[in-house]
Amino acid sequence: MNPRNPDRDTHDPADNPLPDHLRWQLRELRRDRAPASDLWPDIAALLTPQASRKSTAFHAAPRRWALPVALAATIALAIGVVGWQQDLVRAPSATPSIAAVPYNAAPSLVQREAAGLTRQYQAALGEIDRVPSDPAPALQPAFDELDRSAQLILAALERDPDSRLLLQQLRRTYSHRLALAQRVAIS
Amino acid sequence: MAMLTAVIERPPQAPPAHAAASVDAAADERALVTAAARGEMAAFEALYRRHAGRIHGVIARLVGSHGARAEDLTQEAFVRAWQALPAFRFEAAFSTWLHRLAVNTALMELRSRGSRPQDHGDADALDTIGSADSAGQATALSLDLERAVATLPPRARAVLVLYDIEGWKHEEIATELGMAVGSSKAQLHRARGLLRARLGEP
Repeated sequence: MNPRNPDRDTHDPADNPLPDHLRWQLRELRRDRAPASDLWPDIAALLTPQASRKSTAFHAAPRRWALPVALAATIALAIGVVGWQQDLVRAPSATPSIAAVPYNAAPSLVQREAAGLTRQYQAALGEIDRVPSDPAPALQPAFDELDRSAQLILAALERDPDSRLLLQQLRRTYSHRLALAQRVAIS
Repeated sequence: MAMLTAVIERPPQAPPAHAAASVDAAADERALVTAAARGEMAAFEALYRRHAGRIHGVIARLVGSHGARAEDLTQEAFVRAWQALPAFRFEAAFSTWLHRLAVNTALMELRSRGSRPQDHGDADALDTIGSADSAGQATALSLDLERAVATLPPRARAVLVLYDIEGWKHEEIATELGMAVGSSKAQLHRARGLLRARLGEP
């Protein structure tokens, strides 16, 4: 990397050279930008102590993610599924439904949490599906899209097994899917 | 001769104050990194305070936003740094290592978003913003440069940010983005063309 050398191969015709003034204006965009809020409390909450870094302890999610998680937990509790958070730390069981989350020989903590999340999500969905309700064909594309999104996120977690961001996105997707299913069930 | 003697006998000058401060800062940072690698969170917090602005800045430029998404990724980058610190061996400056890790975090997220159709709400949806309208007037003349960069398609934006703003080479970008060097050049060509169009540049 040569961040301070503006004269390197910028004149390669294949690069569609920029006028000098634009090139320098772009360089000036390289400046610090503090986050709007202090991120440290959320970061600190996610750091495992070095000595037990490989432990399976679950750490609290950042505040920004608290709302969708709380929503999902509320829905799950309302339909009789208990132990959302507790199950996140369990090792993956042989439950067939967990096959949706592929595992390597040694799944990461995030993958195990995703497995727990998937298991609880499927249990909650099963409970909702037992409630007799009229089909809602208008919402079917949304259901399909959310299911597809969940599968894509799970696939992305395979490639990036330590991404908490993907885990949070999985939570949000499951949360939206459950909320939608619940809406159909009570309407 | 007397003058020469005076010059020779002059005691060595102390280094300039700013150079001494720089050395102190480097030593201080090394101590913080070492302590953080041992698990001292206070040391890691000090490193966060020092580097948060720079890390959030590059991530925001890469993802084209300065809102919650950039902050989430900044958070994730620091968590990853904490996890990777025990393996850090000072082969590069800590700031360089952290910067690279932050870029990698943002690019991984861009790649994962690229495969998810529900996330088309960012730059690709704005692909036509800034193109000439029917009257031949560039509609994005009012966009400032930063906004124009932010509205580029994600992959083209990433290449332009890394090349034209961060000063990376095509080989480095290609490696980081998992593409051929030729693809990096093609993306840069595309990004620059779109940028110029959005700015109404000839």
